[in-house]
Amino acid sequence: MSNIAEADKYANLNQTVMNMLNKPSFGWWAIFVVDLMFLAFGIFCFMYQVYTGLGVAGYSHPVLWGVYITNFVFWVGIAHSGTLISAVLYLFRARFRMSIYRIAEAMTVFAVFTAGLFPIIHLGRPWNFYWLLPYPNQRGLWVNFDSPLLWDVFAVSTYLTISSTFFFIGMIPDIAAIRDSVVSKAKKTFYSVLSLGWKGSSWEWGHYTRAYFYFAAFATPLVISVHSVVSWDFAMANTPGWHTTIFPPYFVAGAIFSGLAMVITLVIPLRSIFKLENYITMDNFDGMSKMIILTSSIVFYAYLTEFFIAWYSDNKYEYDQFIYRANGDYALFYWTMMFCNGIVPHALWFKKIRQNLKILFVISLLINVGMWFERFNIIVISLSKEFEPGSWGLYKPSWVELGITVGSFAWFFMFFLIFVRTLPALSIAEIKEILPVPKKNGGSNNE
Amino acid sequence: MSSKIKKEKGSLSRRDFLKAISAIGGAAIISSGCSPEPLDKLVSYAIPPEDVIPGVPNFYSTALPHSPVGSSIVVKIREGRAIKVEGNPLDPVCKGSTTAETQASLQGLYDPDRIKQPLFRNDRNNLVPLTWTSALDILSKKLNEKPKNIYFLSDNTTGTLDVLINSFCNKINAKRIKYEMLSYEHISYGNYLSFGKRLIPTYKIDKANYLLSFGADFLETWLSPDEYNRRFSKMHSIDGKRKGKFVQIEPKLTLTGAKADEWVPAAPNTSLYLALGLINYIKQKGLNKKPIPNTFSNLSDFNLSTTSRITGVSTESIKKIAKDFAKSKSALAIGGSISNAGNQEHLTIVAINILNHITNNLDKVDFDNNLSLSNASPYSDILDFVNKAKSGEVDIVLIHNTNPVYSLSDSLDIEKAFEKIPYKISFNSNMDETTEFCDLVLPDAHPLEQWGDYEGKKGNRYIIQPVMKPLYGNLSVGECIVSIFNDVEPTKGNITSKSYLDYLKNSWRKLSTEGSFEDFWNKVLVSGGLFKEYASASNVSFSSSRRHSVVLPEFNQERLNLYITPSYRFYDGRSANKSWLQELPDLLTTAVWDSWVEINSKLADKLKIKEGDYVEIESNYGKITTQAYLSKAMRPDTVSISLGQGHTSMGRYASDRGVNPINLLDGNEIGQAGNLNWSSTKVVIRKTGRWSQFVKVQHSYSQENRDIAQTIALSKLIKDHHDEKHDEHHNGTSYGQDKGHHDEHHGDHHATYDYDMYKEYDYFVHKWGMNIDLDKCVGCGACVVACYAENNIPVVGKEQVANGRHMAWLKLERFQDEEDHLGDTRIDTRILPQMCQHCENAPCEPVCPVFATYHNPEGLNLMVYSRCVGTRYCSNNCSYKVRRFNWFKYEWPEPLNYQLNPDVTVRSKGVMEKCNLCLQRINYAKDKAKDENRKVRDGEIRCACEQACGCDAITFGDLNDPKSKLSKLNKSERTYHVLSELNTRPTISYLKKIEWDKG
Repeated sequence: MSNIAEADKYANLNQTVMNMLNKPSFGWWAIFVVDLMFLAFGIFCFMYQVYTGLGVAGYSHPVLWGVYITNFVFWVGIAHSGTLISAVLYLFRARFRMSIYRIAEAMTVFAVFTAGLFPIIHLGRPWNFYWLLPYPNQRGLWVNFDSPLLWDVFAVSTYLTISSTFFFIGMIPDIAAIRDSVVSKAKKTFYSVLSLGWKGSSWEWGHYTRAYFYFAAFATPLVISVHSVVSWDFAMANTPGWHTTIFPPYFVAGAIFSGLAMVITLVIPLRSIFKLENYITMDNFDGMSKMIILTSSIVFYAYLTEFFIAWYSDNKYEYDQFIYRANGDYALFYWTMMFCNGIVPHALWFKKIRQNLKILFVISLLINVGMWFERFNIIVISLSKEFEPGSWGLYKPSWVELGITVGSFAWFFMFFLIFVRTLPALSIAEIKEILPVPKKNGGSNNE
Repeated sequence: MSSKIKKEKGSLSRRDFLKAISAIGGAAIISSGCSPEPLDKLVSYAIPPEDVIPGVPNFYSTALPHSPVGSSIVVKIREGRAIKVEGNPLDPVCKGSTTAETQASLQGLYDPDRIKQPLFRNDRNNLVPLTWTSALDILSKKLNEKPKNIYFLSDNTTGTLDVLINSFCNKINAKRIKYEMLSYEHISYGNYLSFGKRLIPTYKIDKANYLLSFGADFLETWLSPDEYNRRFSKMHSIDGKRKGKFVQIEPKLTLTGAKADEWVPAAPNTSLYLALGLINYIKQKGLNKKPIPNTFSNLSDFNLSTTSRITGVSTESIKKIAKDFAKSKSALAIGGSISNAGNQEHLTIVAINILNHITNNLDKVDFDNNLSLSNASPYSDILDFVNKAKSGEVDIVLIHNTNPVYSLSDSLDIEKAFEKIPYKISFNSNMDETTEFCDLVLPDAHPLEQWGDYEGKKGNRYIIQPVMKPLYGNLSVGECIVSIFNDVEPTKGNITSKSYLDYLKNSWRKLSTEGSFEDFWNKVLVSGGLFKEYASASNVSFSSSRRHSVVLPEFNQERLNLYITPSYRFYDGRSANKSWLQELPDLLTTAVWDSWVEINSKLADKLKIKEGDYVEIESNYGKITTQAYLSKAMRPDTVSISLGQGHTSMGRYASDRGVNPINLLDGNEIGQAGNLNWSSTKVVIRKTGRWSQFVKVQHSYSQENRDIAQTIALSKLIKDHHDEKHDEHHNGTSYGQDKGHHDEHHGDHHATYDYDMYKEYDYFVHKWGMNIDLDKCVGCGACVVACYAENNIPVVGKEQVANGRHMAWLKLERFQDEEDHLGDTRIDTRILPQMCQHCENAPCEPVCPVFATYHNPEGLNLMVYSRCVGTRYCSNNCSYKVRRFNWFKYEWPEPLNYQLNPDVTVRSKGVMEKCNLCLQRINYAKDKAKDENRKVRDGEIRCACEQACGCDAITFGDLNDPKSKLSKLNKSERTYHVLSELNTRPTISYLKKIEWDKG
């Protein structure tokens, strides 16, 4: 590309981002209203469930966890790539992250919002959810720190705190830029408050970049820890199919894998709707595709290892469990997962496919489906055939569970839809770092 | 008191103040308590009756007068309400145990569908309520209209009520029929032909070493299941080296057959031929100890090959059974089930008597303790009644406790017959099929609300006393009859008693031998009756002058045999409106809330029928449609349906559920004993194309090689026993015993300790545990229902069971594996009562985020319901899957909620629950022991399941006490823990089932 075009990109960046924050179009409203309707249905389902009892979900002895916990793990997984892209790749100075990391971070925060609901939705008595918090009380009741569910409480809440702080800090300079351009008083006030009085002085920038670096360093271990903790919900239990040491790395890789796929799923339509082709380039997709190949391979390897260990350990419960997964009542789901997560991503070895956004979009959707089923398979198939053959049984999700699941997607997209219309979806400051600066100021910001 | 207060006014302590307040309050209540209102409804807390202390239960002995032999029970009363039924330990029949049906009798008392007041059919043909006074007026007026033909239909009433009804019938010139659907005429008739005694005897199966049963389902419904359960347990359990062997011959595996050491599938209706074949073989081999009577003229026709051809039993099996039977020191043959009651089943009884006679085993057939069921009217009488009714020869019929419209085959057109009877009076307590036709309904009080007595077996006179005020103020049938007795003409034969209680006392006065009657009466009330078991039976000898020639049967290969089995849950259908029994899974199919037809799986394959398919079963007389259940454990020439369901009314739980197979039979066809021909009907089955999920509790059959329900070979046990003795002898010390002890600790407990990271729990005082003997357990389900009753377990209904939300804390698991035996495929059935194992390393405990499940210092794994938030993680992590979750808020329709145990929390929606080894009973015993300043005695605490168990399979106790029965049982080499390799270290241990050696 010529220098002129690059210079235009630099000049137009602010305007492009500002355009995204214009008065929403009819299309946006239409999508938003439909989204709210789905959300309302999800809320109705939840209220119905609270009123009637958890029996309206499809739970069937002995499968006492189902779609809700599947959704929880799925959304926590989605939440992972945001931090990975913004923090880990920041530390590694991976340039392809710059233009998409804001979207990924927003996705992270909203995904944690969504994930956090499910442990409450799935409770038998959700109105007592706060009993899981270790708060001082007269009755001397305390929580059980041995329980992986309690670790979840801490892991997820920590993750929510860090990722939203990180998300917010990263936006401050951009919000200040928007503040400077908006006209209406309400908007001005809104962005002024959010920008925390950012002036853009070099003193501020000095502190800011250092702070950002530390936050990134602080957030990085969470990428590993949160999903490791989530995986312990299963790995710490004695259930065949759960009780394996491979779970933490396998879950972390899976989470990044699904998160990247979700980023692609979100970014491709966004890029085309808001005409962001100049900033979100094929290089970005290429980088993410390569990461997907890597994480997919790790996940696929974990699938095979599980089988190998089930055979090699000579543990009949484990062995029967894996035979059952591949060849039992839920085999269709199992092979769906294998196909979507193990086979499909390898199409990305071909550059032509990596460059074809339509195919890439389809692949990313398939990966999302596959990763949802991965969690479903781990939870449901393991529980349906445990140690005691006399207790075996099957589980089928009910309309209430599906309604709440759909509602959770609507909940996530509601935040996302609001986000793209109110906050800078592209990082103006950071994209400018990688764009060549027009000559007038001399020199380049690039390291 | 007031002066005392004055005196100490300056120094009135808080305690004194409260004392004073309560004394003043109490005085006020007492003075205001002298109201004119009679206290006849509820127990008043204001004026506490002498024997009611709130929170402390009272126990009253009474009895349930149900066929076949009734049961003597002790009822637990809390604050004026019956909440639990236990067996009466003084009763020689049940010895303190109960059946599932007896446990569920409370649901008869609190049946929400009981008729609450008398009903009368008005001009518009509607049944309208009226008062008892006017109802009784109508009754006596009606009887004074001098109707010609009066019939009094009742169940097999015994004792004083029987005498009263008889004298009433004499007075009004009514013909009396004691109708029992399952009346075993063939047994009494067969005994008449053999011994000249038309009686149903007691078979002392506990005295036998070898029990041969021709289809008798004695652990379910046959004659006296409670008693035979206990006797079988005695005979079949191991005692040193001795263990009885039980052989069951039947076309379809029943619960009884599942317990057999050898289960021999034989064609239905062929017991006679098999018995004759056995006699013939014994004769040929000269194994008989007494000469064989020539009762059967063509006995020699039944050689091995013919017998084998007819019965479908291999010649090898026949030979083996004959040899084993004849050579055994003490053998016994029994037979005569309802399912086999065909045209000539009485001859089977004769042949069985001959078998017992020629092997010197008649001493175990006890005619002294005969069953009152012998006095029931034969089926031919009821058939006669129906025919008379059809031809208009019946003017009035009085019906008590029997339901002929349901229990007679539709082929008799019983409804039409009933419509022809001008006036019908029912004393039934529920609006059942028969009562719906009636013009006057005088609903009987429940046995727990009335006075009476019952003599199910000769010598056992149970007393029935009201344990609580009648729920709806209904009168018992005895009360009704006494109150109108003198109003009905003629005046001849009037009685002097003012009430039925008077009448009852008068009849008992004759039994009072010494001392004052009041003392005797009180003694009887406390003990529950007069019990007498004749120690040794007076001898009977086979003496038959008649000759029988048995015709060889012709087999119609085209059509299938129909094998109707009485239900151990509903008996003949009378208990169908009890939700506990509806939700108690049938052991072998684990089906609930419905009927099914059991079809051999190979036959089903041929007909392309799969489980859950609706199939049409058609005979020449009727047609029914029900779901198919495929079973390997039955003959391919037979299909089987259980009795008890198929009510069209009677209540919310019974009606419109399942089918009644009696409608496939020809009601007009009677056997030679005057019995209904139950077994000769042939059917065809057809697929209808409709399918729905077959609702059952357990989906898998196989143990998947996981050794959940374990067995041990008898030879190994005896060998070890022998070795132990030998060692002991050899070393001159008790080495053998020590070794056993050593093994137990190091093999089962200590070895696993090495792998534990965490400190062991300290159990300072008690460590509760339980042992379940799989060799004794017969899977009758009494424990399951007892657990429901004791622990307020909700009934969830068919739909929720289908969704896997069955709430039973104690579940009977059955595992069936096929195996080869003498060339035939046999089914190895194992039963495992599964409940919370109270693990020491409980996987459920660490995963609960809020400590809602925890380990108590006495070794119990407990649930704090109010703390539970419902993450259900505990259940996911439970290796035994014994936790149950409250998916909804479960309701007990009024007045079923009166039965709820006030000592046990009714769980709310969204919390987990499970077995807590009857914590309330433990606490009750501990409190009592503390009050009496002593330690809790071994055996003092009995869990509900343990108390109900008729075969002593369950033992609760303290593992900290080395002398407790439990600790001793746990030292047995049969002891094992389920899934012990997981190192959960359950405190529930099991004793392996003992298997006879193959071949």
